[in-house]
This record gives sequence, C-alpha cells and structure tokens, in this order.
Amino acid sequence: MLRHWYLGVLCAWLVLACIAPWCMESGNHITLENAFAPPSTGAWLGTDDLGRSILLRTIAGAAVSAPLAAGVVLASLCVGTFLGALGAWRGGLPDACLQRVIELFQAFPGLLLAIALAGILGPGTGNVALALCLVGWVGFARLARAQVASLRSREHVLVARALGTPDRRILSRHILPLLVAPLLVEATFAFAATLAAEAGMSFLGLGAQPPTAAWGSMLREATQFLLVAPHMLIGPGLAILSLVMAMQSAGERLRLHWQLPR
Amino acid sequence: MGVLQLAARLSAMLITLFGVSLLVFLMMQAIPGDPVDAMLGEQASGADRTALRAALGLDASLPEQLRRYYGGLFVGDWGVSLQTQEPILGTLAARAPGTLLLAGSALVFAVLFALPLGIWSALRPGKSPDHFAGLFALVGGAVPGFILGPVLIVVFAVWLGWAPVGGADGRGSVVLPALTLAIGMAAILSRQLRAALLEVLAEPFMRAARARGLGFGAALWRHGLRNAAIPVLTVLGMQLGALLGGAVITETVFAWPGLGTLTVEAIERRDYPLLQGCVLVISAAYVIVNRLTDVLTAWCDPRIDWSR
Repeated sequence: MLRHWYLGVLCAWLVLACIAPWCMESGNHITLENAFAPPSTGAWLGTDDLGRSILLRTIAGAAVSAPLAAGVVLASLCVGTFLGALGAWRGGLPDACLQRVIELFQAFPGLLLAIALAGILGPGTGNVALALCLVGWVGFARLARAQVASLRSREHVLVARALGTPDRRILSRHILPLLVAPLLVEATFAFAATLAAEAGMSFLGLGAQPPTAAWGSMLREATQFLLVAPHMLIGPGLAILSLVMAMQSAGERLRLHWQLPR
Repeated sequence: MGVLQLAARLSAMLITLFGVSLLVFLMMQAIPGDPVDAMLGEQASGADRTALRAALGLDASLPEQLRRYYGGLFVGDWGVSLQTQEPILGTLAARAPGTLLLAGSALVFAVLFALPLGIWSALRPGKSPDHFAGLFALVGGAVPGFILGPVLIVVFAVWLGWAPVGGADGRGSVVLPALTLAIGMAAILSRQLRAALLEVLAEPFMRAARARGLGFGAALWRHGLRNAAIPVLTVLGMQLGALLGGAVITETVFAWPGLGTLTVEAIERRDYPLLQGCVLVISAAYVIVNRLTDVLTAWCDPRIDWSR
C-alpha cells in the first residue's frame, strides 16, 4: 500500500481543494491578540503575524496554486502539442523555424525567464500564469515534434496516407492517440515543476497579492518572522513539498508503466 | 577533437548567444503600456518623461533601438541603472563574484554528497542503502530552495547558531545557501551516477579487469567510475546551468549579494535596464556552461562523433 502513497496524497489534496473556497473567508479572519500562536489543539498549525489560522490558509491556498498550475500545464500542453505536431507533420521551413525557436527558449534557464517575464508584466496571478505558459509550451512542443517525426514513417500512417486519408484525420485518429502516453507523463512532471515555479514566484512577491493565501506568498511572510515564529513554515512548506513529490512519483510510475524512456 | 570542429561548436554558441540577446531585447518591448509611466509613475512631469525617454533611447524607432542595443553590448556600454545611475556593467561585475562563489561551493557540496550516495546505492541495488538514497533523491529533488533555505536557517542558524542567518559578512555564511542549492543537485546527480554505474558494472570489461586480478576497489575506480563519469558530467553541466537560474530565489532567501538578488531588486524597483543586464548575463553564463560541458564530454569520450 505504501508503494502508492502518492495516490493518497493526490486524493487528499483534491478533497482539500474542493473545500478550499469555504476556508478562504475564515482564513483571512484577523485576530491580532492571537498573533504568532504556536501549533496547539485550537490551531493545529498555529497562527501567523495577523493571528490568522495557518491551517485554514494552507487549505485555502490549494484553490489558488493547484488550479493555476493545472491551467498553465493544460494551456502549454495544447499549444505545444499543436505547434510541435504540426511542425513535424508539415516539415520544411515552418518546422525549421519552430526548431530554432525551441532551441532558443531552451538556451535560457526556464525559471529565470519566467521570473523576468512576470517582473516585466507586473505582479499578479494572471501575469505569473502567462509567464509560465510562455516558458512551458516549449517542452511539450519538443516532445510532440520528436514523437510525430518518428510516427509519420510508421506503417499504419503510411497505409493511411496511401489510402488517401486526409491529413487532419490521420493526425487525430492515427497519431494523436499514440502521443497521449508520453504527453501525459510530461504533463505530470510539468505540473510538479509549474507548481514549484509558481510558488517560487509568489515567494518573490510576483504572484497572488495579499490578503490572498497562496503557498508561495505564505512562505514569503513566514521568512520575515523566522526568529519569532518558525512554525509558520510548516503548513505551506509541507503543502508544496507533498504535492510536488506526489506528482513526481505519479509521473515516474506512469513512465515505468508505459515503458517510456526518460 | 579537431580545431575545426571546436571552432564550429564555438560559432554555434555565438549564434545561440545572439538569439538569447535578441530575445532579451524583445522581452523588454513587452512592458505593458508605456515603460516610462511604469518607471516614473503617472504623476511625473512631462519634462521628466521626455528626459527618461531620451535616456532610454525609447524616442528612436525599433530598428534604431536594436542597433544601439547591439552597439552598446559590443563596446561594453550597457547603459546606466535607473535607480543608482551607475553603469550596469560595473554593477553586474560587482555582484558576479558572489554568485560564482555560491555556485562553485554548491557544486562542490553536490559532488561530495552525490558521489558516495550514488556509488553506495549502485553497489547494493534494492537493499537499504539504495532505498535511503532513493528517498533522499525523492525529497531532495522535490524540495524548492524557498522551503529548504528557511528550514536550514531555523535549524542551523537560529537553533544551533552554527552559521549566520543571512548576508555574506560572517564566516561560513556561504555554507547554508550553498547547501540549499546543492541538495537538489545532489539528488539528481546521485540517481544519474547510480544508473550509469549499474550499467558499467555489468559490462564485460569490468569482469575482465577482475579476471586480470585487479581488486574490486581498483577496478571500480579505474574502469567503473571513469566510464560512468561521462553521462554524469552531462547532467552536471545542465544542473550547474539550472543552478544559476535557481540562485535567484535562494539568494533572496539568504539575502546573498549576488546576481540573483540584483535581479529581484531590479524587478522590485522597476529598473528595466538593470533587469535586462541581469537576464542577459545569467542566460549567457547558462549557454556558455552548457556548451563547455558539451565540449568537455566529447573530449572525455572518444566515442562521441564530433562531426555531427
């Protein structure tokens, strides 16, 4: 059972994300006389500098960070797969251009590019999501391009072409289904990386603005009070760590299941 | 390795560097609305705006701005910081040693952790050392610097008092930030080393070395690790590059005076010319490190075909 711990973690976060909207208001409730209370039976993870419950804020944060990461991955997946598959299928000049653009984006450290972009666009969750999408589509495009390039000379595709099947139908019926497994594995890892990147950018003050409870910005507040209230780290820290680890393990398990190369 | 091929590799690197600098220039065009508004605020006087616009070269057409940008890059005139009015190249040069020291220390720590861990788990696959190394890799590979850093500060600086909380003044102040960066790197390196070693240990030449009477340790050192080093070296280069990007957050956690904190300061003060310089320098370092690793790997491994 311990082998599949990540399923338990993912299910738990799914449930918590569903009840998160109800925690938002109470998580923002300020009671200054309770500030910096350490973990106790009343407040399991203690309270922050404004006396707000860290447990409630951590749960509320699930409704900010996880949907944002999921949305970014979904958008990157769609755009990247579309461009990569189309490039490999058509070949020629557009494909060569796409390849140069992919190489160019990969010449950057991804996180730095996203941070700088979000810094230019200005703080806010929307801009963070946009910056992460601009960096994120590259991985999917590269993967889809490589897969389609090798699939297009497979026998079943050649037969379909010989029979005069239209391109759109070949791509959607004979190629796309074979892309699902590698893309899903990539998406799982990308979700973990995006979640960490979003939290990192919120930590730098670029993401969700106060009083919204996002895990990254909660950690930012926690580091300002490390000397008086180190317990403020526990909630958001464990939330990010558990979700990232669970997603990475799930991706690894899927990769082994489908026997895909790294 | 021929001189011609080396030259070809280096010229490919120059093309990449050109592309990177072009993208950085275009990125600065993405500032929403009027960048002068963004920097001065809405209440600034018309004269101030015109002055800043001229100082930034924003009054010129896009091709002219591009020409000035590259002209400046080549002669070392990267403009001045809006905040401090100091030359950007000088500011970057003052902060670069901090980041280099941090990255270098992190690299040393990472190799010190990864080497024993990788060898240990490859020699006992499926046994408890391997499980321990696997757990370390899982947690270490997943924990971001902005969680690990504060935890290390609380434990080693606040509770134990072994290291300073932040900054670069105290003795040993580089240890905690370097450890923060090293753990994630060591996690990936140790896994890579394990996989490479497992492959090499099964090779016939290892059995041949033992059959010639070479002790296990000597065979592992001379034939095993040398051959396993090649894929590990590739990952090491990629990780060192990624470390330069990750340093932005870790340096902020520890208030470490490097290029990372400079980047964040530039963002917070809306000092776009400085931000442009920071991104340019870190990205260029990333490109150069990756390309050097490429060359180094090919030089170590005669099987790699240089003509490709």
